[in-house]
Amino acid sequence: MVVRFILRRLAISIPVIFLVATTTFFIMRLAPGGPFLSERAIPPEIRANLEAKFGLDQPLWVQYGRYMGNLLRGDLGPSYKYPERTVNQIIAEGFPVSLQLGVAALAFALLVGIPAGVLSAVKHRTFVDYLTMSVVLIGISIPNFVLGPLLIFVFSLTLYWFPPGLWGSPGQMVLPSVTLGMLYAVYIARLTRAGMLEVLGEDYIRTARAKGVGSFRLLWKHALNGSLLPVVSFMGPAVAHLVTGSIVVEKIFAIPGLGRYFVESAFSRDYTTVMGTVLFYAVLLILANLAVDILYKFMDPRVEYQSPELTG
Amino acid sequence: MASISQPVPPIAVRGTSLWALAWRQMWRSRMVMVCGAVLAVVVVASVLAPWLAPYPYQETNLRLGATPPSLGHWMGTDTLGRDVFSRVLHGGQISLAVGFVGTLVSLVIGVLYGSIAGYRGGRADEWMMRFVDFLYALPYLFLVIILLVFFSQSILMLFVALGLVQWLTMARIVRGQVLSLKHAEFIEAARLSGTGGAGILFRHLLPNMLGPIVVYATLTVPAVILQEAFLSFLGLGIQAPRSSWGTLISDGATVMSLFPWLVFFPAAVLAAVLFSLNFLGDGLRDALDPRLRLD
Repeated sequence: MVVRFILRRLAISIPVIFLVATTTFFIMRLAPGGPFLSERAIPPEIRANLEAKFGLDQPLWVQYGRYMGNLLRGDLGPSYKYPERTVNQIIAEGFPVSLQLGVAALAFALLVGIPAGVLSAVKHRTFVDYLTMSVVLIGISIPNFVLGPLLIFVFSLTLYWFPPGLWGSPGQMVLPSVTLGMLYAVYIARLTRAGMLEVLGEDYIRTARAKGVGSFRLLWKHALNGSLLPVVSFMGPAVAHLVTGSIVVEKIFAIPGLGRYFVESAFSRDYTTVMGTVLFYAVLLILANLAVDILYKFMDPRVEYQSPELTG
Repeated sequence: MASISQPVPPIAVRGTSLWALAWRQMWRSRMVMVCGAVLAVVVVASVLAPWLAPYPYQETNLRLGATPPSLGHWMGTDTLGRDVFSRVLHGGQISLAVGFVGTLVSLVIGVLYGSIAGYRGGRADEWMMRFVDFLYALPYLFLVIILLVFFSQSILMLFVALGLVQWLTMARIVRGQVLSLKHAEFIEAARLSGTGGAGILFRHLLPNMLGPIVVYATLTVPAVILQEAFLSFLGLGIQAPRSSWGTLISDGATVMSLFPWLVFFPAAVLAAVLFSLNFLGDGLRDALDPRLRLD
């Protein structure tokens, strides 16, 4: 059942990827400008040679056909901005960094968000609850491009606790991960609290309590599993937002991840790098959504495996 | 018990509409009123920016340079000697306009799309919603960035691009509402008396799903403002010398260690507005949701 479900979803994804590739290709090509029309004038002969080398002198549909052909073989083409590198190499270099950042941010969000939500639900309508929920609302209202500079200002430039940028050592990972993860931490806290409040009123919790299950075990084993379902379904969109958020965070902290490559290549009209990055992220998001759906089923056996859910 | 023998005074039964109840509940919450006031002040001040701003927003004063907040410039001046308060007011015009227009675009597309899908039902509904699912799975903001970089970075493009991102959830909500309403008897009655699809939609369906639509629209405005700021931060939003809160924060962040007031004031105003809108949206949702009503 699971295998069939996965295969079906992957089959549906192929036209999506095709659609993304086609849309991106033509949006970029129909726009004025080109990778070799920079402000610094290049002699026309050299430009013509460069364009011939990359096949940009061919009619658009020939270029499109050639690109799609290469795409089928997994070849994303050479980069125009970094001529000595292919797009595959750029992704292979940038993505591990972005992945580390994303995973660290998500880990922070879960480790802070879930306990905060549980605490807030258990202490419903007390000072702790109100305090947590106020922090949540404030956290939602502070965008990451404000939080990032703020954290640098306090923890790097004033307290000298963490370095203000770059990536590699554990110390360098703290501020970017918190900056990126904060929004998800507060959302997760909120969802956990709501789910927990609902679950704590259910009969099976009362049954468990009546049978003498200790309160710690009751919370973490019996109640939490049921109350985390909204959190799990939030993970799908969260991964998508994490990807866009990492663009900003990578810019603030000068982290050499894929998000920075994407923006830079868009500005310099590096067609192949833009295409490659977008397609790569599209595949990533489809896989992440699939993983979330499988996890959801794993946690809630009542859910049937179906083609993408149609209800809102 | 003496009170039992007393005749019970007749209770005046007066229908209270959903909106009246919602209004009453909102009024009761002090926090909601504070947020509404903050929002009203910022909106009015931004709209009146040309008259309220003490200096033209683009007027530079290189001799003055960046000065901390003072009596003359109570939010200080930036590195070009421009008055930060004036720039925050003008930035508010852009940010708020983008927020409201982007929401409006998403509202129109989302409501039309969602109600057509829900009302048609069957195969059309399935394909239309599957298309929405597909779009959900895309790195949507990447396409917006591409659109903005490769075409123009005009305000109009920004409105359209941000509206295009936001309509998906609205379409889902509206479709769900239409599905639950369309077999109601008053809809059947309208159909039997010969009302066309558009008539049913605008006269009968729309008024009945106004609650969720208003709530979600209230929550969309801060999301759009945030996205404009995000794009501005990447250098894709409003271009200098015009400013939005996003560009002010972006510019201020680069010189934050020297001139912290340049990022502090626009960030504080942005955060206050986002907080108020989110809080109002939440409050409105609670007030309009009869299940959550306390009394």
